[in-house]
This record gives sequence, structure tokens and C-alpha cells, in this order.
Amino acid sequence: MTEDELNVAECLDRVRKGDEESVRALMQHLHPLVMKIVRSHRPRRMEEEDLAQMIYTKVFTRLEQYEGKVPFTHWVSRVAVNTCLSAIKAEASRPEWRFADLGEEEQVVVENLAATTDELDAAHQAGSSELVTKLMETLSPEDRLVLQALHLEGRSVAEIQEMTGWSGALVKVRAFRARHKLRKALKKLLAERSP
Amino acid sequence: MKNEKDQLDRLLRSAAEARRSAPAPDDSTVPWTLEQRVLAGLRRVAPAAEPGWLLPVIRGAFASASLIVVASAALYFAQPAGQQAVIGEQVPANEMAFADIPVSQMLTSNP
Repeated sequence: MTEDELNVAECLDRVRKGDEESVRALMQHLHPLVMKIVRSHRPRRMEEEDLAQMIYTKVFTRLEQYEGKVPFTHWVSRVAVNTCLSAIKAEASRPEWRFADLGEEEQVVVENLAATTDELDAAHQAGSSELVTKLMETLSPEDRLVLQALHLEGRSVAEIQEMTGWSGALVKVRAFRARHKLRKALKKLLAERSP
Repeated sequence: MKNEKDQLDRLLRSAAEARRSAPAPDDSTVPWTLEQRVLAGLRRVAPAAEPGWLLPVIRGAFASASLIVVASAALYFAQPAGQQAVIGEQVPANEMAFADIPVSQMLTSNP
């Protein structure tokens, strides 16, 4: 449903007056967007629904702060992203993974990366996904977000700007530094593997 | 160095492919439990919010108090130097008239 179909402005007015039907309609309108962000930037130990509830509560209790300068969905994206970053920070978990801590599939992926220069085949996708998730956990929430959006979700710098409110230069600098840290973490795993 | 770069890119490409090939979850409807939790949370927050009429009253009171303070300061500094006193304070007409009176007499005398 687009903003035109729902008529967000009218819906927001009714929500501000306490109309629960409009709260339901707006949640329905925002749900795909909110869940996409939740799934991409959720702390490991937090349930998706708990995080989504936090985001919706923030959105509806802070509606007065929405000034209408940007589309409503952009504002909601920023609220959602900031809530996710805070939740990740609150978890305060930045593990340092060793080769021996990895699962069997992840170890095979590391071995493959070291042994060949070919693309990883489809059989290794699950392992590489889990390995990337683990390596990302060693980064700060902001670094994690920017790499996830750029490399895993295929978003452009402009899209990340809309989603986070950061400047284009900040997104690029963060992405560059985050890649450097991720490469360092991967290099460490490659060095630890048994020859 | 080139190979190290490739290793990271290959890993990221493979993870992105895994993400794309995963079945897309159905987010077309809001789960009933989530909807009810959000609505319940909003109902709890709503009565705690300050009533709409309270903020203008607080603002008005603050503005009035500020005005009184500014007016008092203006009146105080408008008086000639040496005769400035805060409201209600008695200022002797000529302080020098008391200069020769012993302190003991000042304490016992009751004007």
C-alpha cells in the first residue's frame, strides 16, 4: 500500500486524536518496512516481535516530533534503525570469534576461501551467511548496519542516507572502515585454520 | 593483498546470494498478538500524558513570572544611585546621621 492509497496525513490526524482503527491501519501500512529493518538489524538474543513492538510504540508516542519535512516512511525508517542500533548496543555483545568456535559449515567456507579464488558455490551459502553474521557481530552496530545494507541487501548509498539520516560522506567512510575491520577479522580466521 | 580482498568480496557475495534465495517472509498482515501489545502499550501511555490545557497554563505562568522579574529589575535600577533598595526595605534618609550613635544605643532604642 502506498502513502497515497492510505492517505497517511489524514490517518496521522486520526491517530493523534486517539483513533485505534487508524493505529491499526497505519501499522498495517508500515509493517513490511518495519519487519524488513527488524530482520536485518536485530540483536541475536531479541525476538523480532519484541523489537517491532518497541519500534511501533516509539513511532506512535513520538508522532508530535514528525514535522512532515520527509516522507512518513523515511521518518519511520530512521526511528526503526535507531531503535535497532540501541538494542544492539544494549546487548553489548562483541564476541571475538576463533576458527575453532565456528560451525562445521563455516569452517568449510573459510577453507574454501583460502584454497581457491573461485566463487563459493550454492552449497556453501548457508555457511557463508552464518559466517558473515558472526563476523559482523565483532563490528559496532553502525558499521554492521552499513555493511549489511550495502553488501547483503544491495542498497545504494542514497537509500542508506534516507534510512538513517546520515550524510553520504559518513555512509561511505563508515563502509570503508567497516570493510577494513571485517577483512581483518576474516584474515585472522584464515590464519588460525589448520594448514 | 588482492586475494585477501577477493576473499571478503566472495564471502559477502555468497552471503548476499543466500539472503536473496531465502523465501521471503509474509509481512502482509500484522500478527494479532503484536497489534494487541502495541495498542495496550499506547492505552497505558495515553492517560499518563499531560492534559492539553496544562501546557498553556504553565507557559503563561512562566511568562508572567519572567515579566515581573524584568519589571522589578527595571524599577530597581531606575532609582538614583545610593537610594536603591529592594521592595519593602527601609532606607534611612541620611545614613550619616547614625554614624555617631553608639551601637548599644541603637540596639536599645525602639523607634
